[in-house]
Amino acid sequence: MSGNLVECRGLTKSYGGLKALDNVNLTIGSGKIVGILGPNGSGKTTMIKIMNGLLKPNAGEVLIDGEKPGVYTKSIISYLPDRMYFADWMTVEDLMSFFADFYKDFDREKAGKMCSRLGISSKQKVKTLSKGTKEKVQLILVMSRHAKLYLLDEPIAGVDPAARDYILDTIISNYNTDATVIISTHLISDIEKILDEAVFICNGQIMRHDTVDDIRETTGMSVDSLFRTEFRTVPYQGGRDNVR
Amino acid sequence: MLGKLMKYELKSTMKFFAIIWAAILAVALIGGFTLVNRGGVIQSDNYYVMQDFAQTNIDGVFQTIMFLIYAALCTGTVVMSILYIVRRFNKGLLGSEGYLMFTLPVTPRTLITAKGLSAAIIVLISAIVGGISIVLVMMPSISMPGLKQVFAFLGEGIKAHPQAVPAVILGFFIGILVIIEFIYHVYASISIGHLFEKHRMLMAVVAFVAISIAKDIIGTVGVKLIQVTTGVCEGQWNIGIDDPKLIPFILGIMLIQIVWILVYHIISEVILRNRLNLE
Repeated sequence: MSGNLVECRGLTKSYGGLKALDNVNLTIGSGKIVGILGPNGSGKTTMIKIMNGLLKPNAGEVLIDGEKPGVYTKSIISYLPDRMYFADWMTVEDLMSFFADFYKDFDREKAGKMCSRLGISSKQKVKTLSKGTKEKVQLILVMSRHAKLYLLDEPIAGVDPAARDYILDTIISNYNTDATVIISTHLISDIEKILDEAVFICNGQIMRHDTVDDIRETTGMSVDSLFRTEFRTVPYQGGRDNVR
Repeated sequence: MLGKLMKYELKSTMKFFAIIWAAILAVALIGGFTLVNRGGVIQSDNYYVMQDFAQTNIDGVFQTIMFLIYAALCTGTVVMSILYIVRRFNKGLLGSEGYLMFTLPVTPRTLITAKGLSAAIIVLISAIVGGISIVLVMMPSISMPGLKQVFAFLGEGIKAHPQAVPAVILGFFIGILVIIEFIYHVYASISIGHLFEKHRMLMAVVAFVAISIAKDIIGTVGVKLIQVTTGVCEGQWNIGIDDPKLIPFILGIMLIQIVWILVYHIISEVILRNRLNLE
C-alpha cells in the first residue's frame, strides 16, 4: 500500500468512439475534502462510477485503499449518486434498516435524528416524498455512515440555494474527519469554501490538481474565478466578431 | 448477506403477489361452491361429468363469469411472474436501483443468487397456489365416497408400483429445477444484452432465442447420452413405471438442468463482474 486512499493509474474509458476519461493519473490522500471540478460531460461522473465499480475502465486501474473495487472497497465507500437509487416501495424506515443491514458503519440513530429534524416521518414511503426531500434522505443516509471515503456525485446540482446550504452543512457536520470526501460538481462557488484540494477535469483529462490555498496563492484568484477563466467558452454571436 | 438481500427482494413484491394469490384462491373457492349449488358436477360410475356448465340462466352466466375471472387471474399470474423475473433483474440490478445494489459490500454472485432464489420462491408459490385453486374448484363437487375411492385408488397404485413414489417426488424437484433454469436463462440473456451499448433489451431477446436454440441442440445430444449410458429402452422414451432405470434416468435429467443453471449463472456473473457498465 502506498498510503494514498485513491489512486488512478492510466484510467481510460470510452463510450463508443468518445473518450470520457483519457489516461487519468490521480492520487488522493486521507482526511481531505477534494472537489472534482469540471464542466458538464468532462468525465467527473465516469471517474466516480469507476471508483465505485459501477463502470469498468477500458484501460488502467483504480485502487481504493490499495485494493481494486470489490467487496472491501464498497464497505469503506459511501456513495451519493447523481440520481435517485432507492426502490419506490420502501419507506424511510425500510431504507434505514437496509443501510443498517448492509453497512456496519451506518449510524441509524444519527440518520433517524436528521430525518426527524427535517420533519420526515420514518413511515413515509419514498414514492410519496418530493424530489428535494428524496435527495435529502439519500444524503442523510450516505452521510450517516462512518466511511473512509465519501464519493458525492453532483450533490448540489438542481437544488435551490437554501437546499444547497443544507446539503453542504450536512456534509461538513457529519463526515468522518479521518475520511476523504470527494465531491464532483460544476457549481464551484458554492463548495469552494469547504474544499482542501481541487482537481480540474476537462475532456476526460486532469488539467490541474492543487490545494485550494496553492491555487489562490499562485494565481491570485479564487478557485471559482480560475475555473471560469480556464473553461470559458466564447458564445456564438450571430456572425459578429467574437469579443471577450 | 444472501438472506438479507432475499428479505428485501421478497418484501418488494410479496404484497403485490399476495393480493393476486388471495384473489385466485377466493375465486376458485366461490367458483367451486357455485358448481355444487348448480349440481353442475355429479358422480356417476366413478366418472365426474360436467353438466350444464354454461347455461343461459343467471347461475350459468355467473359460473361463466367466475370461470373467466379465474382463467384471467391464472394467466395474469403466469404473465406477471415472467415480467417480475425480467423487471427485478433488469431494473433492480441494471437500472437506477443497480447504483445501490452494486455499491453494497457483496459479490455479484450473491446479488444474482438472491434474485434467482427470490424469483424461484415467487414462481413456486404461484404454482402451488394454482394447484390449490384447482383442488378448491373440484373439492366441493366431490362427494365423500368419491374422495375415499380416489385415495383407495392411489393407495393401490403405490402398493403395486412402489418406485412411483420417489419418481413423483423427483418429478416435483425437476419442476423446481425447470423454474430456476428458466429464471437463469432470462438472467443470462439480459446480461448478454448488457454487453451492447445500444438496444440492450432487444439484444437480450435475441440472446434468449439464440440460447434456446443452442440449448435444444445440446439438450438433444445430452438426453441421447443419458439414454445410452443408462440403457433406457434403447433410445426410446417409453420407460415403464417399474423400470429399474427410471430413477437414474430422472436423476440424469436433473443433472442436465443443474448444469444449465450453472452455465447461465456463470455467464451472468462473469458479465456483471467484469463488464458492468451502469451508464
